[in-house]
Amino acid sequence: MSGLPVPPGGISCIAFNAGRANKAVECRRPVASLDRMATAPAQFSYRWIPAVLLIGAVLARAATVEAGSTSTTAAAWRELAAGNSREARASFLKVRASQPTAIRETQIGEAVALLNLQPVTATNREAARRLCAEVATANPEDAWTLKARYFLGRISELHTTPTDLAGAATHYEWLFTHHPASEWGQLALVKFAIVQLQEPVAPDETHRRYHRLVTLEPKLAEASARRDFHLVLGATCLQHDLGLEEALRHLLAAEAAGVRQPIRAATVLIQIAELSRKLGRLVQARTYYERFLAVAGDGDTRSFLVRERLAAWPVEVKP
Amino acid sequence: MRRGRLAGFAVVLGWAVFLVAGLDSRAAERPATPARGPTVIRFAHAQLEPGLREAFDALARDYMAVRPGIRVEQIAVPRRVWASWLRTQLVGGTAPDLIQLVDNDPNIILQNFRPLDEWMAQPNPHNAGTPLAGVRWQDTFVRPLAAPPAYWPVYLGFYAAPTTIFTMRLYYNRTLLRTITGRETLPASFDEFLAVCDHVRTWSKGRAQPVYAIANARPTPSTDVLFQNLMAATSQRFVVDRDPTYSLGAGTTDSARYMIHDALFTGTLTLRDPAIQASLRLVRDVGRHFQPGFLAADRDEAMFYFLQQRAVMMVTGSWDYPTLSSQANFDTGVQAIPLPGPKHPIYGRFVLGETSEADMSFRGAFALTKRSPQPEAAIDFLRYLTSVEANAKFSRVSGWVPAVRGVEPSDKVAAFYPRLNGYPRGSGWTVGVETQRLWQTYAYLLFATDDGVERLTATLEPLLNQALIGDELKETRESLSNLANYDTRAIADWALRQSGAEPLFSPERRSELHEAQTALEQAYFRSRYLLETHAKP
Repeated sequence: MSGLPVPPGGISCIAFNAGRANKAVECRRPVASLDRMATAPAQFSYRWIPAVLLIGAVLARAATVEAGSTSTTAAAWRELAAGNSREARASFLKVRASQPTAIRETQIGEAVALLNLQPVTATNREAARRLCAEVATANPEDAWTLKARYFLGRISELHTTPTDLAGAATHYEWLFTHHPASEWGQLALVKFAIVQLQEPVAPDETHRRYHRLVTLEPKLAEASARRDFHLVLGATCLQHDLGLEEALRHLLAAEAAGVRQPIRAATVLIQIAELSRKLGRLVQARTYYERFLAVAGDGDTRSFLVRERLAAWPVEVKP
Repeated sequence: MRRGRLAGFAVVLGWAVFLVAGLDSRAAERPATPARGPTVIRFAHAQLEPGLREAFDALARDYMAVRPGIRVEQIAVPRRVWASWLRTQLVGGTAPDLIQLVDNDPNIILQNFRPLDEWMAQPNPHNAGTPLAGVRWQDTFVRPLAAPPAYWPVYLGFYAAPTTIFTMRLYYNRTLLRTITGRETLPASFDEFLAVCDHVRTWSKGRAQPVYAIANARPTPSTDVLFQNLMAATSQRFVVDRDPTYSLGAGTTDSARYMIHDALFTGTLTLRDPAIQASLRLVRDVGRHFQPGFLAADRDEAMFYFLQQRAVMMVTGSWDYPTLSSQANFDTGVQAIPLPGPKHPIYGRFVLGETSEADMSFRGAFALTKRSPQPEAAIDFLRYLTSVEANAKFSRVSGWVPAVRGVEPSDKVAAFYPRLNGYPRGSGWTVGVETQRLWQTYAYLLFATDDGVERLTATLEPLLNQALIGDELKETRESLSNLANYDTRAIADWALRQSGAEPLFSPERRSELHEAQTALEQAYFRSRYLLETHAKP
């Protein structure tokens, strides 16, 4: 207590006198006796009461405004996630008008709402792009800068006609180069792989891009990004004849990172088993067929076929 | 001093106003205020088949006996007005607590229904004392809830709990079959089945009231069950053996469809492929036993043929069993749709064997509306509907297949129970709306003349590519809006986490969102790649 700044003239308080119930009386005491306040309440100075309450109220107001800001932007984000883009956009605009500090968040919120508004229009898309560009180029960088870059990539990749995959790749590359450990840098690696490999280019160019992407594998720090990256590369190997061994390697890595959706998880196990069988790795094939059955049970249309395969399995590779 | 006290009082008052205002700003997010009096749970569905309302009524009565303070009201809405009724209720804020997801329309889910994930992760208390006691509600169904209407991968959540499973079956008039052939049941082999059809044709010749072997309707997407099953049969080996993703057909009906689509689009499969030619011959072999003019008939006309004993057989779903068994004044038999097996001399080389029905979708699924003023009570009733005891009774009274694990199907519905011991399903060449329209328009060629297979093939060949492009474009359009939806929820979730608010997803669901989006994005670009590299002008 003694370390706190004390206003001149002492501290005001409200005390209640037992003899005059609920009637506030003013008390005054010297500043030096602060430590004795607990034992001498009658000495409080009432004149400080409004000041304390005012400070409390200001703090409370600040807290309420902050909570209101959180709840209002939170409500807008929830509205957006629930598919109510028009209402969400209106909420973001309202918050921006009342809270200049939330401008970057509301700009991104409005941009995402614009991208979801129906009917889809070029005007909305360009407005969204402008908002994201404004957030992306403002100094200093913050977490919203990353979101803005990510959405600039998404606009180029998914919302622009004709699609600008090279433009999208630029934004994604910036993200995983400058912020490789961030959630959005990790996600950008996966998106970069997709736009690089699915662009219709000459087979040699696809192969070159694939090999460059393989060199980026060490940057994959998050399990979900690692899984998705390897799933993309594994599928590409099969689609563009980049080798069954490579496809198998990617699928094994994806599976190790944890595939979450039940049907996809079962399919990855089957793919590993089938590729292993094709490549002559029969022990590994059998292991993954069995894992598939353990996961899928009878609830998969492939279970019966896999059981049949295992029943006819060469004796020498049975455990 | 008085001024100071007044100022203090004003500040306290102001503070209170701020707090109250802050609280009130969340009023719009609250569900409707519950009415006074006993809790009333209303649930709506579009199943007006005989036995269904009675089954729901019986369960509601049982439930009210278990929970005396609660009243349950059933709202049965005719199918033809369901869509407009639903829209009116949802927009008007007068929707009941629980609504059946009839059409699996993804556009109404997020805005109108609450995710059931938290409840699904808990055991169903109405299963106490059964083998499913303590089992998470989501794991108490006959197969994993992995697809709409129960689980919505695009929204990463459970939105409904199902009460039944639909399967497709061949119904037959046992009385008529006995009269015509002396048989009590249909044969299991495909050739013997065709022999029965021939027998009916011969028997019927010269009679004043002809009887046809099979009643069928024109091949619209919802009625083209028999033809699609026949066409899918001859692509079974293709889907499993030539799957470029090494996934044995990827395990879903859609994945087989995509595979055939891609193969046709890239030219690795053509209408002249022996498997597709065989499928057309197969369709022709069976189709010549349908009633005349079936290509202009709708489903109801086909049903009349069967009910009026002018056809011995018809193919329809398990949902029609209560209707048919109550309206038919003859003994009805049910069996799997007959398909050629792997030993068939002509079609056998394309076929693996009986198809698995492990991917049959759940139906009769109820979702919880966001405006429900008593979500906990509504969920408790839904849990009751899908408990072992109640689902068994539901199946017994309605004649529908149970959806809950461990519920033994009654004798009368056992024939509809999904076959799990079977091979992955193939797919016909009609892989989307446009190719289905092509088939619907030109199917008559197949049956018009003796060289129907060649005439149809030659007619379709120049038209197929454009139809495939149309189907591919439709897929990409739908994918695009779903991809944007994933992005929106990912950033909303992130923003909520940043601000310290409750996020939209758990870390596991978040990971699942990225996985689902990656898969969809890859499929989307694969479609675009195909369009850019193989679409002919």
